[in-house]
Amino acid sequence: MIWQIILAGSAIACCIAASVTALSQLNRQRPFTEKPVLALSICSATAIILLLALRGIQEGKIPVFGQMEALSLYSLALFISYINMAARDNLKGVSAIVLPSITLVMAIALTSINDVPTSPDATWPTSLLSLHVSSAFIGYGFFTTASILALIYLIQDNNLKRKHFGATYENFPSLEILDSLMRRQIGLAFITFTASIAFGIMMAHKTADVSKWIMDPKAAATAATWIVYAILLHLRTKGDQHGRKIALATIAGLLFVLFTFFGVHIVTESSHSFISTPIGN
Amino acid sequence: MQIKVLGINFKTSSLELREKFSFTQARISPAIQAIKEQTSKLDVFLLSTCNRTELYLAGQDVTLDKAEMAQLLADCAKTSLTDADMTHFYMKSGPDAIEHLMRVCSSLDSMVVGETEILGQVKQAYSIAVETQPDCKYVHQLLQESIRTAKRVHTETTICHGRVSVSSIAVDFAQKVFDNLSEKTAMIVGAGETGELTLKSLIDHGVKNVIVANRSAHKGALLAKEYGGKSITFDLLEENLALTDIVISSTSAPHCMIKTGAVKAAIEKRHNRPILLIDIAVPRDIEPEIANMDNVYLYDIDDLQKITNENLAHRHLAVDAATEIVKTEAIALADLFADNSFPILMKDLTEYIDNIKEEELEKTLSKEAFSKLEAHHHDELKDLVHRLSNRLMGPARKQLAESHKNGQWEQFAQSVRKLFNLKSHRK
Repeated sequence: MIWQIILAGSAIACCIAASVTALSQLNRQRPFTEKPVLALSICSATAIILLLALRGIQEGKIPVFGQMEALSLYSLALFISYINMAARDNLKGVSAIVLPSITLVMAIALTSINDVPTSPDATWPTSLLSLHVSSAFIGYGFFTTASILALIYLIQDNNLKRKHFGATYENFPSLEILDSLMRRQIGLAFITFTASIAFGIMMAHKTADVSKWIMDPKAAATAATWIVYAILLHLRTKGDQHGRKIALATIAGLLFVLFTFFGVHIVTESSHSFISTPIGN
Repeated sequence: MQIKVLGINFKTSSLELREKFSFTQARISPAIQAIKEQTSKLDVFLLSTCNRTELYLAGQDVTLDKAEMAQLLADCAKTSLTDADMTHFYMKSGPDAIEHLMRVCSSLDSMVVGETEILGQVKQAYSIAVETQPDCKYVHQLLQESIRTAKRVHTETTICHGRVSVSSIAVDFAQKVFDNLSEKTAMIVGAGETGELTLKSLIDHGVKNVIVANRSAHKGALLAKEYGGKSITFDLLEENLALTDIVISSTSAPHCMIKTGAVKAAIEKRHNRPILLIDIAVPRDIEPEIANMDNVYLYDIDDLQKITNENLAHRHLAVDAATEIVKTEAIALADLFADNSFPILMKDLTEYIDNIKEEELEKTLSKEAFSKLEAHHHDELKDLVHRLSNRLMGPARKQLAESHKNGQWEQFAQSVRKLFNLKSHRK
């Protein structure tokens, strides 16, 4: 347990340090320096990977069955999505919004570090389950960062419209860069989310009760989310749509993601509940 | 060492008087030579910009008074000097003159505080001074320290932050809306001077596609040709709006040229891609209601003026910190000049290097292979040697000046004399 606490502490400490570095840069007049923020993010993501691996080895199952595991995976997915962007583009002040969001998710995850995760059904194929869960979480991560980019787009749009030329105006990227990043994140999210659904369907067909999975509220919410993003992606690629309304629609899409991830378990019972509720609930 | 400056600037004189005493670049070098001959070979630095003309004299003994220096300047400018003119001249000497030059370089004395153009103009004048009088060690020291101080002011304070011209603000907006300006199309509506300046600034920042919309097809075509764009008349303006990312409008039309309906149609055709509209005309060319449309960013002359004022106010907040830096540096340089051992060592070092330069050049040019070369090749070779020695001497001079400030002067001076055997050389 001591190693889990050390790793969890390192992960959150690096994430807080990255957030503080990013936020402090937002308030100064000099150009934004991404390197220290990116380095701290990579350290934090590595600590999360090690923490999940350790928990998986100690529990003898893939580390997804519990609130702590699920939220840590979500944080990791957000990190992957952020690092993927930061390694390719000059994100300027984007990290000042993304990293505090990841810190918040991680902080919530760590409140359940003492919970013992549930055990999966022994009949589930482990490899398919791993692919299904990991691709779903990566999809969630990319969808979430696309929505954060959409929020930044709206802030920058507001700065330009209302003539507020402060720190966020200076440090956030141009509208066109944000728009193009959003489109790329949604594209990647859609591919991984579609793959997750495909793995889920394959897995359901290998279990005894297929209808239990097909009729599950989480499956319905996932389908709705998939359709929303399919429309959004279509509007962006085939329709070549840009601007404020598309940014608003991207933020609205996050509501579907959050409902699929958390909301389903709050409003109804789901066969997927093992992923986000600790044992005994 | 003594230093004096005599000058006129935009604060003390009218444009007419500044024109009377201004020097084109080509006239600065002959003026320096003439002044040098009449002042017992003092070091001369002459700075002439649209906002100021200043004459700096430096040497062991600068005895000329204000009237004599003004007369020297008038003679070089080939103009007469009246008593009325004299009242507009200012003169400073010693540490005040050093501080004045540092203030000028740091743009604390500029019409627009924090503009960096003046530093470029000072560097250019410095280069002419050095070419005209290669042995001007005081000018070297004075200018190098002043330029270094200006750079310190620019990096350590916020005096240069924020754009303060219409063209630079327009470029700033364009960079906040768009990613790569080289893929964007800019349209200039009306061939006004500010509009053209803004377009030029956008082109300097990468814009390649240009459309010129003008009432007079001929004038529009000329402007379009100059910037490698296409020319259209006003009746095709709305049609071309959808193809345009940045519009700069500056016509003298009494009514709005760009209407809400046209922009709405353009935005639809552009699939909601943003469009930046800069209206610098009075009365306005673009309907103000357009600003409420999504994905349209409209700025009029009042918006631009407000930003200019805010940025200038922000720059003025940094004036105290910048002045403090200038004062500290000016006192340090004045102390350095007051101590005779520094210029003597620099003179010895310069003489030593000049002697080597001359000897080696003479040896090389007398060789058969080089004697066959044309005169301009000889000049190039001399220039090369001269540049090399300047590059080598620059950092040494800087380090010696630093050592004087840090109280390590004696130690450094002794080492330099030992290293180059300067005493024996002087003997």
